[in-house]
Amino acid sequence: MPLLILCQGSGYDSNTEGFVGVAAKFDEQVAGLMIEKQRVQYSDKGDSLSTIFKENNTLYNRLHDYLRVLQYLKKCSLVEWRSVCFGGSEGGLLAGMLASCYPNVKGLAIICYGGGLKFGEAWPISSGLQKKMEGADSIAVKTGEAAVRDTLDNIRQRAAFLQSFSGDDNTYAW
Amino acid sequence: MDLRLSNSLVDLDIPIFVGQGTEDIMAPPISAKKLQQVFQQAGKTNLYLKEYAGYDHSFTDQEHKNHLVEVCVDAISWILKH
Repeated sequence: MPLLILCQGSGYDSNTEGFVGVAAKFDEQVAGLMIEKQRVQYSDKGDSLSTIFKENNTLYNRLHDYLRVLQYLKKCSLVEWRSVCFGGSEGGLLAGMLASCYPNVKGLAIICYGGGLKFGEAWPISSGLQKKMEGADSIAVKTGEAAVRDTLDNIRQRAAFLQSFSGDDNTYAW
Repeated sequence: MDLRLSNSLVDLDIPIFVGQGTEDIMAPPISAKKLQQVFQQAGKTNLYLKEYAGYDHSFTDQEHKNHLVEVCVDAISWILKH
């Protein structure tokens, strides 16, 4: 039976219950693996942002958590070697990174992530689209996009694990 | 932030499914199109882009009906089949 590796999107909620519901539809065909973000517990709704999450929630930490668990499962011979990866949004990026460095991933599905643009390229576009949707005029859209680019430059110059840049509702740290 | 996933994905020969809502403003559809272009330019045929017309980032349509589970089932079914 192949291993279905599921990767959740960003944020400090769990969303695992939803994924478990989806994985259950394939329970005759796959074994499922999903790893919570650090300090996020099963069924967490994202009501409280913990310091441990803020200090540890980076994409590479998430990737290494998956790789450590996969190594352990292999050592215990608990799952068949062949795996498929599935992720949405930030989880899509994570699933793609995992497929790129874990040679036994034999299939990959990414939803609502894209994959052709860097996050640093996509975020200003996304911000502009949101402003347009809110009814902003073209000057306000461009100003908003420029503000995001400034934030990105700020992050590049002062990358730090403990500084978050995207508001408390969906914290990113670099 | 400055990682371009397409650079590493294009080296893979495994089947890849990409699901994208056309009204997604969090992950702009142009990003999925660019990924598809990278594969086409490299002469690779192992990537399948499926666009979901009218769906946003959480795969909710314009009548506020959510289709996330259907899309997840779609994606997983595809990779298990290929």
